[in-house]
Amino acid sequence: MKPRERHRHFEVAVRLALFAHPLSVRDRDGEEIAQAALDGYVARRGGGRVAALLFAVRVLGDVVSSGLRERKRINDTGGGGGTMGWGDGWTDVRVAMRSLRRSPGFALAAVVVLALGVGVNTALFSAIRATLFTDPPYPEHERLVVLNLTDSSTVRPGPPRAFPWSYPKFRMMRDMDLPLESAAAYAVRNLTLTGAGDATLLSAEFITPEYLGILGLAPAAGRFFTTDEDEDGAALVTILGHGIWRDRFGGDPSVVGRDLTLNGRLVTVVGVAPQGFQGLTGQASLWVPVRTGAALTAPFLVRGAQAHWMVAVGKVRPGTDPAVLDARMREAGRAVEEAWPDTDPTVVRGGGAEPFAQALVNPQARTSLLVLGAAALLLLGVACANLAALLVARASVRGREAAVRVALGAGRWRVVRTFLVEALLLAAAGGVAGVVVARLGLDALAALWPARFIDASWNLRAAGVDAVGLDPWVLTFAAGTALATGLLFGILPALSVGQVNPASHLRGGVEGLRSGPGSSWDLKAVLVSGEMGLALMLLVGAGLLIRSLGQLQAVERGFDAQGLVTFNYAIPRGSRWAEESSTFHDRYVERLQGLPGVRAAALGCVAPLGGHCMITGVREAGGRTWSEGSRPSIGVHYVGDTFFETLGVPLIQGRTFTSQDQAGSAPVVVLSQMAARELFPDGDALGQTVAMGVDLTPADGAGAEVIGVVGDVLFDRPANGLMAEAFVSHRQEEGYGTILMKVDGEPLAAIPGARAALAELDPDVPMYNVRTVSDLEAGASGDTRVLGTLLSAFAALALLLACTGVWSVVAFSVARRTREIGVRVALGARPGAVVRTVLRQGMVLSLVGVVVGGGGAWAASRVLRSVLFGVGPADPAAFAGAAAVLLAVSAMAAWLPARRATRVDPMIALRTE
Amino acid sequence: MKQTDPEAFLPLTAPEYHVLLALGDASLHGYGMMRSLEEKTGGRDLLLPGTLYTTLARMVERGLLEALAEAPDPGADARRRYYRATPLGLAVARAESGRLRRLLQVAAEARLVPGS
Repeated sequence: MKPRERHRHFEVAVRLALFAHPLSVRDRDGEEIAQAALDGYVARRGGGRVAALLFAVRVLGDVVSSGLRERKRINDTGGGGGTMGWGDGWTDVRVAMRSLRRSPGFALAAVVVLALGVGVNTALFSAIRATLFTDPPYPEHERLVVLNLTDSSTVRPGPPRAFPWSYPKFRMMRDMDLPLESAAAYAVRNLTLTGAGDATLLSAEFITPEYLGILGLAPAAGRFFTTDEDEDGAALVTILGHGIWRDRFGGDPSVVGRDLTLNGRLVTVVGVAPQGFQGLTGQASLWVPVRTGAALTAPFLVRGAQAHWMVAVGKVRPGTDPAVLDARMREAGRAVEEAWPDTDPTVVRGGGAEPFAQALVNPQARTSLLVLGAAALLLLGVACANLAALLVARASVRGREAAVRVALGAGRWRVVRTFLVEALLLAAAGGVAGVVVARLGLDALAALWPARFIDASWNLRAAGVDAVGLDPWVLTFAAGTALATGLLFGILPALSVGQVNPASHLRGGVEGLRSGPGSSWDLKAVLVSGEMGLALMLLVGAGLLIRSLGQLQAVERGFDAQGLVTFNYAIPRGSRWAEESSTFHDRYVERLQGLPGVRAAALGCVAPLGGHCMITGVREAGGRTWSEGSRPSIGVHYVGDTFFETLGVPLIQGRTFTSQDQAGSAPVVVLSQMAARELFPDGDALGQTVAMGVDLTPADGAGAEVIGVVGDVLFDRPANGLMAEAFVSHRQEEGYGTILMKVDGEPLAAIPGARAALAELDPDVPMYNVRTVSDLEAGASGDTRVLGTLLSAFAALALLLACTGVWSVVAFSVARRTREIGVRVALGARPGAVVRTVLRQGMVLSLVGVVVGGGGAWAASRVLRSVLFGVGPADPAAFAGAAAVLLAVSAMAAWLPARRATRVDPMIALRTE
Repeated sequence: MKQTDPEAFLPLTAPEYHVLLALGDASLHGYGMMRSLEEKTGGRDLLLPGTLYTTLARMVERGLLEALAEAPDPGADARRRYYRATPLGLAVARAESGRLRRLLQVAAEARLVPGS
């Protein structure tokens, strides 16, 4: 969180606290008090967060208490009575505060419980509302749709999958008669800006001219693209993002009409995008028409009908039925596919339309967030039950105090009111502390949950969790729930106290001992059992995710992760290296290997766990051939000679690439063990020929010779498992600028050296996307890891709360039965028997909780199915583990007070009262 | 008629005494007093804003302080209200210090002062 913001929260709190002061003081000194409090707070921030927080708490307490004193003073002196109207209220507050001060343990417990419940819920639901339930910031967004091509398979089960458009296919669809006002396509690609300071790699959206208009935007300067600029032979043009316009060009409007160098070509700036807009991908710094983009990068982007790379959005004509549009899109998708038929007869093509707001969030993230939301509600339930149990216990203890006050002539309503005011004070304090917890919780959430887990894909971005602020509505709801609990369970016992016959209560010293566990004990027991049940549900959820995470970790990685770091670089089109990129790659890797601390470096394509360079089908292996649709899938990687040694992948047979393998020499391929086994079941892969899908060399289809077999490497997410892989030398097939480096010590420490070496070779080649192996692991097990961590934290909190419940029930009962226990000990009961009796009472609560919560967990855990890996939602180990943890911890909680029972000295116990 | 005998104001409450100590013969605004006291006592005594301003109002009412109509010098923060001890206020501070000194002597004789 920014310091500025934290500052603002404190200011709001001070201004609220000022309402404790009479109007006259607020008018005269309110501003200055707030300002002095803020100045003091800011000055203390130099001393660290804790010092500032302590000061903030002291100041808030002081502002409230001085205000209340002031009201009382005015009241006592009769001055300004008209502004008061509190009178008795003040006395109630004073009495309540005094009584809370007398039992600080109870007060602290209640405030902490409330703060946790309110804080955790506010943080999570603020995030959920901002990411799932906030409208996209575009006018008439309800008319926006995402238009997809789809494919489904006649041989593979499952619903149709959406996939992107190629430019020619999009143009055909756009020109059809569909119930759309307009449609646009876009995709994000990298462009390199040179000539103005350092070479910078910028994210650019390649768009069709309708794009910015569909989103209802207006240029900050200049104009948007015209339809001419999306036709053959158009001039090269760009629209600058507001950010780079401000940072690089000082916000100068005369930049419109100037030329920039992008990927080595001159491009004219025609306009500037509005402030804050970064495209639907959420990452664009500038925009170019598809024609310009293709001219700067790859001409096939415009021509290739099978190059599927663009997302389409459309604006629906008013009054169109979504189902009609969806059906029309299906026909359109089919027509498009008839114009450019796919070669695979098992694939059925179609199309579809999805409401924009729905397309924005990936379903997995939606599930994860909603699961967390449900978990937070369970935790709030535990917190409220805990607070209720605390209040009930306290009310029953204070029955006599109330009776004395009634006997001494206090009105019953007056007595009830004291209890109420006490509950309200606790709820208010808990609410304030809850705001602090919520703020810390949001920070933690943003740190744990990278924004990309929420995004539907690389091309649609919802609000990131890191940008979420506290949501006042959510805070109101959570605080309101806690307040309602406080009132309800404050008022119930208070009312019963109010009805009590003082005489019988005053004799209670004797009668109370005979009556044993009374109705308040039963109510508390029900509440505590409920807490246990809710805690068990959370424990089961956490257990299931921890088991999934364990299964994901257990998937064999096949590479040595120690000290691995990876980054990318991009050789711009138009660079002198563009035509001889393999020479550049080899020279750069050579330089890297000479750097201090670098044990090995290699050119790769994609880092392990990051996916495949490409996936294709095998046409032919040895003598066997496969027809379209039945070809075995294989991942393909273009790698440098040192790739296997850098990753620590063992060579099992034959050899890996050497400098003999050149562009002109015989094409060769290295297979992974799994590929060798699948393609050559007889184990004779070496020396055989493999021919892969249409996109791969050699173009004549003769295939490449297998020169080696290496160990299997996990390139995909662990949940997807190992796959057959083929490796091709980057000199025989153009490689990508991905470097894998094995470093001694801190991996990131080697990056500055690597960056300098890159700049030495060519300052116009930018480095980007630096990641360590732990980044890769975090990305690969993503949601499961985050969800597991958070659910475990919730479960631990719930368990802690529930156990304090058990503890207090048992301790309370031991205290009440001191005399009975004393008598039993005096009559010769052994300590073990006494402990067992008391323990049993606590364990009954937990067992009831386990049964009820187990049922609840069994019913609820199936919502987790989509985020589990390798375990079912009814996994017996998770259930048994959760129950065992719950019983063990609650046994501890019951044992502590039970032990005290054995220390009861019969003589003292019998003399009690 | 307002009370003018310094002894009649004794004993001062802790915040009142703190305010007079923080001010001395300077003119300060509220936050200035908070800082001044903190510096003078090494942070062992604090004036917190809620108590401070209600105390200031009462002390002005009783003639111990005066609120200045404008900032004491051009460099000062003009948005804040500045306060200065009146001659009566200074006399009361002296009287309170005297009272405390007498108490301290009693304490020393009873061996209740650290280091004695």
